[in-house]
Amino acid sequence: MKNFIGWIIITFYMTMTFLLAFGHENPDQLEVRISHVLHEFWSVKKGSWDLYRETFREIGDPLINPLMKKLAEKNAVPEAGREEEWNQRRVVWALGEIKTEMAVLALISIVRDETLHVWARNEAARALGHTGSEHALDSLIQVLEDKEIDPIVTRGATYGLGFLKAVKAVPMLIESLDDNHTAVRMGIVYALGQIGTDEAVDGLIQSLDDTDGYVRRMSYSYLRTLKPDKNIEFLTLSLRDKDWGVREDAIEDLVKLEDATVDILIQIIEDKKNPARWQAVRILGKIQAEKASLEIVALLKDDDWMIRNEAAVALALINTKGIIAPLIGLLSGIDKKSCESAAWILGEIRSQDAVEPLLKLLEKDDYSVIAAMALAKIGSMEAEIPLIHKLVTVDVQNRRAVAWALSKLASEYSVRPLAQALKDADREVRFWAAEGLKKIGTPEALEALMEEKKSHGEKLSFEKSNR
Amino acid sequence: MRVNRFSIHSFLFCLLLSSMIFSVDDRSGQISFEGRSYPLYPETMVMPPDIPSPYLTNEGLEIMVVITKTGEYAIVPVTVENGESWLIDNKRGKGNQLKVDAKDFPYLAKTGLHSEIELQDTKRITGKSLAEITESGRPGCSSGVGFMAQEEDILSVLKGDNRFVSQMGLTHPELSRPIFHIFNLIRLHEEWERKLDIDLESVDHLLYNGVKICLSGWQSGHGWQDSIFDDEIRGYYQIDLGRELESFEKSYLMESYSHLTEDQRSEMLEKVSQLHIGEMAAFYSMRYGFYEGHTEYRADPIALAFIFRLKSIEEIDKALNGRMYKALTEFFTKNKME
Repeated sequence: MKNFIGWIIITFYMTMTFLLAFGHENPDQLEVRISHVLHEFWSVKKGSWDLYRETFREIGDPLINPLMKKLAEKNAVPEAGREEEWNQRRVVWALGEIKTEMAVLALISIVRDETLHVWARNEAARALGHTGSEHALDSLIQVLEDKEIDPIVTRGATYGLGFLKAVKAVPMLIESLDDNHTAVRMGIVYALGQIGTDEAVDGLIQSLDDTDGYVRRMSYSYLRTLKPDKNIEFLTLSLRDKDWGVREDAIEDLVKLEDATVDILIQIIEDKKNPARWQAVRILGKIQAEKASLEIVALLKDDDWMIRNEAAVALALINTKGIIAPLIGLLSGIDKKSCESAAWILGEIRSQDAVEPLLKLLEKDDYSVIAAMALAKIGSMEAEIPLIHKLVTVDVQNRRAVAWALSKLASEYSVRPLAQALKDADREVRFWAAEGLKKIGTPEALEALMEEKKSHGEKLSFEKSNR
Repeated sequence: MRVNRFSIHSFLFCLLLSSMIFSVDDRSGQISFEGRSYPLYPETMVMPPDIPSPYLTNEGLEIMVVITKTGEYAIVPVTVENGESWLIDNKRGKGNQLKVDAKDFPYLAKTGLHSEIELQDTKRITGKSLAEITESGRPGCSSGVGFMAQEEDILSVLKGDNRFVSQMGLTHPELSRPIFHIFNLIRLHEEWERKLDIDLESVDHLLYNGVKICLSGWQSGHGWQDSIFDDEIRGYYQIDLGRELESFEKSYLMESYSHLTEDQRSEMLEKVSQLHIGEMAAFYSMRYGFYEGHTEYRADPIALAFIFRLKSIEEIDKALNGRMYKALTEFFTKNKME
């Protein structure tokens, strides 16, 4: 019996709860509920607004008037100290969630209300874009047409039109591409990118002439997505953009395309008038484009040091047999800059074929520094005796390079000349001589080091650490 | 000595926290010098502590004496050392303060100066070509102001500053150290403010090698500046510092540079005694011997040597062969450096 009564009570309680929660409310009950919901909503931070989404949609239109009254109130939760602004944004957010035609009308009135905060009006315009309403579309186009309206609101309208994918708005969007405000133009590009029709694409192409790099960056990005068949064309075009960010984006994406771009990049580097030559060499190096290696070798004679530098680095990365003969050809020394670059590359790729020509180059005083260093990197022991002879040269740069090279080769045969070099007037020569002797490490080498330390009566430069 | 504290409450609060905090940092909250004990920052003192600044304790702790806005003194632990990443992945460590790019510059790593030969043979740094680094460092590229002037290139800037530093008888780590000291002071100040949840008194001056350096302030923006090299270095702060020239320094420069116009002399005095830098300069000078080219963020090594009195004005001028004005103002172009 007790169980039966208990069951009756539980059933009654559950029925009442259900009716209260989901049953039809009389106007008084609804008013109480709205008041309760808004009171709660007013006391939470933005991160928790989403918790009220379903409730707002469920209650719908009856919420609109109380929300509009709230526009004038101060916020219960100060967000970043901008109470008034956040209060208005809170109302806009709620109206945007209701999404009925009445809510649309309320949002339109907020967009046009100059007494309200511009960021709240901006959000109202954006919210209109999520309603899918024809009214919303027309009102957003009107905002775009109104040149007196605050640009922050106009920007919101452009995003709203983008959310609506408003084909009807494309002519007006294109017409507004000459707006003075970068933020508005970025919004227009966003909208055109979202709409994506052929007419919108024409607008995006037009915006590639924009004065602002960020606008052009966005335009390129949309054009490449909307016209995948012209992806490489747009990428190579953006390589010559005057904005660093646009160029860097293009380089990064072209590198990802690897071999697909090689022929086009070769065309660019061969076109002396193309301002993207340097960027093209950089990409060819990064993708190690063997096919382009001879064209890159030709760039070692270029007038622009940045192209020569990038070409040398690219060739060291590509590191293919095909470049050795042409590089050795450049060692003749007729053109000093290309000769130096060629020697550097041959050293970096450790080309044994280059030893003989580099030894010849070592004999020329103007080139002996770069030749000595290349020979040491290759590890050519044939270079040791000619290098030792050069260690007593007058020119300090030559002596430094030779001491550096001998320290890398670290042969026992060099102990005596390196020990002699410990007495050199130049600090750097002494350093490399000491490094070489340490590396050789034979008793004779170490003794030479100790001897110099004693007779010098001071610390050798190599002992000076950075701490 | 009477030790003044912000307030009785904060003192008690600090006392409670200090053992915990210093155990976290593996530091004791005080140091001893010549038999006397001194509290460490954020505690302050009314009287100046009788301790050199900067000073390296036997335990390897580097300290620096600072003066707060209210005229009180504090001893700040500012040891230059490697730590966790600096403001990456929510870390607020010291970063790699001692790291030198030994792969590209073995001589720099061992001696603290660049080898002219190594620089001559350099075509890439951290795997990036010199062209790529230069382009990224020019004004309006990766940074609005840039890391070097439009006419400059990375290698010429490295060569030019290496020559100045070498001529002054200094090394890059010696010049990066005072910048790291300031960076470590800023880090510690902000760390204490976070831990104690209070606004600490601003630091107004540093005592450094017998001179009083004005730390006009530091500020950080909302974002950060990426490095032009392929490394983890990032910049968040803008730091303004400088010092008044002492009368003998001013007289020396006025006499030695009487041939300059008044504007040129003013420019020279300003450039040698005032700096507007970022913390990137500390990492860059240590790791690459790079002080940035002639932009408004340049940590000019001549100014560093002067402001922190690493060398006297006469020593600096003599090292520069009486061409201080040119050394402070002329760009490092390819034509000039080759």
